[in-house]
Amino acid sequence: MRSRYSYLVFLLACVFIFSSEAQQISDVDIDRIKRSTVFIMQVSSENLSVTCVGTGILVRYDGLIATNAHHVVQSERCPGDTLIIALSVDNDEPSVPRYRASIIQANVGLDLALLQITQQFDGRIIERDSLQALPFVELADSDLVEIDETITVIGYPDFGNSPVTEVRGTISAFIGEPSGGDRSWLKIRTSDASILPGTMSGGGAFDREGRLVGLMTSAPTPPDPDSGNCTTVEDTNADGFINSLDRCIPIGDFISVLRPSDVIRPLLRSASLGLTLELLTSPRFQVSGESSTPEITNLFFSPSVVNGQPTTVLQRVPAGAESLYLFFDYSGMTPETVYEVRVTIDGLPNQTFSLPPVRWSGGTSGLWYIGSGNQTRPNGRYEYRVFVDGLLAATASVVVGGPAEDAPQFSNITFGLLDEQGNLTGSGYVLPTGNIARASFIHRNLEPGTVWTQIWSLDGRPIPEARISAPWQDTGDINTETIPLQAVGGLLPGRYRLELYIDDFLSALGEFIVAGSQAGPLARVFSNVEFRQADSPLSDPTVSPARTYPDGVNTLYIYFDWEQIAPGTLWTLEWAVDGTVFYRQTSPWNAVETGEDFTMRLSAPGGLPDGTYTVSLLINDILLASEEVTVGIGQLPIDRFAQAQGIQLRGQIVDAETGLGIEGATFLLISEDYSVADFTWRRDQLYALAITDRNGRFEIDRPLQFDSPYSVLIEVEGYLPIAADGYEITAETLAEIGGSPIEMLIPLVRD
Amino acid sequence: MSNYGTTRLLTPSKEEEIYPYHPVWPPVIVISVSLIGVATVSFVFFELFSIQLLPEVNAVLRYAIALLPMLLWLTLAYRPERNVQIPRSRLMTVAIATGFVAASIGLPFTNTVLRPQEWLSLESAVNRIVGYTLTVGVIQEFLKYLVLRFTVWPAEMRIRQDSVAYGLAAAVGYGTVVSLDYVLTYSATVDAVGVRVLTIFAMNLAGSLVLSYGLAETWFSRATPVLLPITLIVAALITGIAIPIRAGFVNPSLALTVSNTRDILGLGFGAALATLPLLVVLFLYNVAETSEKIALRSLSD
Amino acid sequence: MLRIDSNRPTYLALRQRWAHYLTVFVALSLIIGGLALRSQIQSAVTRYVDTRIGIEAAYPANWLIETNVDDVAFRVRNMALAGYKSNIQITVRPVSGETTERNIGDQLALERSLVLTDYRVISVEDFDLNGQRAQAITYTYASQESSPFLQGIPIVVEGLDILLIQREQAIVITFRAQAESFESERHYFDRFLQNLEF
Repeated sequence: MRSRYSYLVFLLACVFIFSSEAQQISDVDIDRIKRSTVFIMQVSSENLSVTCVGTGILVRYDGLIATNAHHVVQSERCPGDTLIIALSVDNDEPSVPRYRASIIQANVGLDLALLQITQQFDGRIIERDSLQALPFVELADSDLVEIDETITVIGYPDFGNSPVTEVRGTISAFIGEPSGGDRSWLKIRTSDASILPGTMSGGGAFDREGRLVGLMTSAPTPPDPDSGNCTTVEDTNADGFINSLDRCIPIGDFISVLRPSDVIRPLLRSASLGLTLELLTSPRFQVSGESSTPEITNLFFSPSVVNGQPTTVLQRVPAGAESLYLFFDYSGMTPETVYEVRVTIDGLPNQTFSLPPVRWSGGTSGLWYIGSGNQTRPNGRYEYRVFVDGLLAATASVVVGGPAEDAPQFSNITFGLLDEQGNLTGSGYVLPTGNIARASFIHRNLEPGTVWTQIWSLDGRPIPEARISAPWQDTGDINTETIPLQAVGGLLPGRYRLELYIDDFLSALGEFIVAGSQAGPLARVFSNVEFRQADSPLSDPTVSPARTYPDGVNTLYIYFDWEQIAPGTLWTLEWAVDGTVFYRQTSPWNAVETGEDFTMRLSAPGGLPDGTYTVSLLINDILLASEEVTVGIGQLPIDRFAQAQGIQLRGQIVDAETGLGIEGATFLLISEDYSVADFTWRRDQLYALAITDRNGRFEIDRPLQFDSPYSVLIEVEGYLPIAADGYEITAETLAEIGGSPIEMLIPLVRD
Repeated sequence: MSNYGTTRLLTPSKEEEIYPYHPVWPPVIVISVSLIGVATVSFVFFELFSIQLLPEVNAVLRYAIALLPMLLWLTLAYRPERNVQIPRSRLMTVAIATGFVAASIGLPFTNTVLRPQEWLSLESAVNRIVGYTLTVGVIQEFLKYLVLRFTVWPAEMRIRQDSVAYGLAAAVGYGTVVSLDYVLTYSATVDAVGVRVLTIFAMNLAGSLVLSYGLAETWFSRATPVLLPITLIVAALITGIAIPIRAGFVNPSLALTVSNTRDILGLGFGAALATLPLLVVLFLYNVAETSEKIALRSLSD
Repeated sequence: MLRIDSNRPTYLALRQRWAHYLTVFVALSLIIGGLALRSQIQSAVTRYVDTRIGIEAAYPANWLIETNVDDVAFRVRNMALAGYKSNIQITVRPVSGETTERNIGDQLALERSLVLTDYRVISVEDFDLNGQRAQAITYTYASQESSPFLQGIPIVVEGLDILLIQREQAIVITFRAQAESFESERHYFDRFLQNLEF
């Protein structure tokens, strides 16, 4: 009896907790998030016609907008040259055009762009710092997102005829790619199985705290009226009819993936700080793909990825496998290329593991993978079909199910140099030139006499003398083996690959880069990183390098030396300030093989913000050189406006006798450090300031913080002012009055 | 034989003498109480019960309330003058003249030249009192004084109460114009108009009564020449205090969401303003008349 | 009904006449006092010193002051006004030896035409600023200062720039007010200029 009673209490408690959780979801600051969601129209200034549309999210109070690149970057598909930003003035009404914006950061491959509001809707320039603070959202840490986590996606479902729309959903899967790691894409599924239209692309998905988890991304469909993803609404050719002869606005495919917020973060960081990085060393080589037609070849499966490389190659995947990756070689790809991976299991389409059409975020050629970990695969025959620009490019299949095999196998290839004790040393994936490289790998279940083959390649071309087939010598069930790669005069710089076959089936694959000279166990590729300052981007830098600039810097020049880097070698340049990355770019090396003073210039309008700047140089994700420089006090200044969360305050000021709104009344919210009596009419004593519109309505553009005792002064001539100290909002009082935003009604009395 | 009836032709006793003048205090009291009642009723109906009427009906009500003091005065003070033996002859002249000076000089000078709402509404309490006294108060009372001085004083001053009657006429005339200006300028709610008209009338009545006391004492007794200007200052001060105090009573304190004005305090202040100065001046008149009677009795003795 | 002859002669005794004269005198004095009080309240100032640009100024009391915002070294606004908030601001620009006030004025016009709606220069005249030669530029534009989420209506604003070149810098002293109340607000600016010291 007693246990039954306890069980009942426990059950009731669970119901209460879960219903409270549901309530917490609905308490997300939807109003603020909707106001932060903008409708973007790309317009052609030639005939003032809309060429592309999409959604965007305000990610900073000064008008910085995150969105997809495909509907804002000028291209053949979207030829417009002007971006119009429409805001949700009333969340129950369609958006209203208010501003124009310019692209300040764009990555076509990642399909991300950052826009900055620069002009009013009529084209007037908005002076710096004069734009009223706009509602914005903060970025969540997308690495903390979990499968089945509830999210809310918000965007505009059509061409601006409808108000901004929210849809509940969950994270259904992750998809990994080399460009973004294991969470390059977050797959989403709506709770009511509704479809997210392509116009919501660029809109955000938010967690329960109202932070941006990711950006909805759809495929950039061509402006083809017959495709069904394009709509004609304007008489663009001015012939008096709206028909197929007029330009149609591409809508884009339905949305099922998000670009995680962690991918957006570096772009946002550099844009918000106004940092511009320029590579000043002129390219010597035009690095391009071997062919202009995209090609996908050499598809195989691997259960896991280490450092962007397959651990092994599977012919069959055992039951209960939690990770599976499809690898393939690619060439002729560009950031404009749209690729898609459709996965079927036993002939039935599987949305969880499929990737809808998205822009290509890799390089021109190389090794690519797509897949995910920590997600159990159901048994079945998996068929992966890779589409490029809508055309089937390659197919691969694998069976999942059955016990783990005892088949012979190679795995976990790493590369290095032998030290004096005969141990493998080095970073594993970047080796210095002029040596004998060695590959170490794990073998299991190989019977003596099994024919195995090793094929070494350099820059995609097999090295003839390095193809060796031989019967396996009996060295035990599971062990490591080391094989050398030797060249006359030592290895030349470039990208090397080792493929291991067992009975003509690919069993393992690994790649490494040869670059630089030997300096201890690691390759010395980059060296002598120096910093010099200049008074402006047009001035010459100082002669003496330094690591500290206590008085601040207008422009920073960075120099480094390099050696033995073959053209086309992918190298990564990464910049961070106070530990937060604001620039990361992987690109093929296009300077000479060896040289000095590779020059970069870092600048910002008004000088570089104080902080500790770190430059890192990597190849194959191996950190080869890193230096830091301190500017000013060595720490970024605190931006007191950069907090999106808090309590929104708005309301109406009316005449007490007529009930009509008072236009031009001033609502002064004095910071918690001052009372009304202490207020001496200095702007820096104010937390926020608002002026009523023609209806007497006002809005405070900064969110208020809990438990902060603000002071309020409301005045307009002809009326008695209202002054109050201790205007404080606690979580309890906020709940009592119905939550954020707080709607005030303030009557003013006339003499 | 002559038959002498019981009726005797004798001089009537003192108690049966007919008072030849129309009493002045009852109309003052009745008008004040009526306006308090109307303001209270409109407050209850429109503020507390939130009764909604058609906009046209609201407009009619606003004007009716603004004209109510004039209508009451015509009914209770002006019209009954016909029924007395010695009527006051220039009541209408005073009422109309003060209305004219209010419309042509008082309001334009205040609203266009002085514009106190631009520089007084945000000042401290002391500055507001002094400011309204020196602007609205002085203008208002001085104009009424000039009308009274050059139309009825001292020619029409037969008894002390004459100054009260003419003072009431001046208050009604001036106050009606100010009320109409308020109703025409602002689309205030009916309850706000009720309270505002009450306050305007009360301010004007209080000022006029004080001023008329000064005029009466200057004419009927051997008052010092300083008394009349002092009563002008006091009358102006009443207005100067009433305006900011009323606004201060009504002004709301800031709430987290909906702030509410304290209209009940405004109504109470208007009622107090309509009664307390009246009582004080009534007392002063009684004292003055009693002193005069004592002086006359001692002279006849 | 008895009637009193209201035309009976009434003459005032000396003290009654004096009472009347005193009343008129007191009333007029109080009215003048009211005007003086108004003048005192409206001319109350707060002192401001900026050693960086080298000015000492007295701006109207209870106007909201901001310093070093955008290119503006000093700005005060009358937040009590309904409608457009009258404001006074000082901007400093670098000049060369050949720069004239006209050059500065042209630069301002070009910049403002991009930022302000319907910006028009009304007049350009010489101006005497406390004995110093300066140039006065009058202009108008339409202002809309409100949140994009509110319903604001543009207001016609009139502005007056006083330009002078001094100590290798151009100083632009600007006054802006709603066009229909520009003249009634102008006295704040005139007093500001009178108290301005370099």
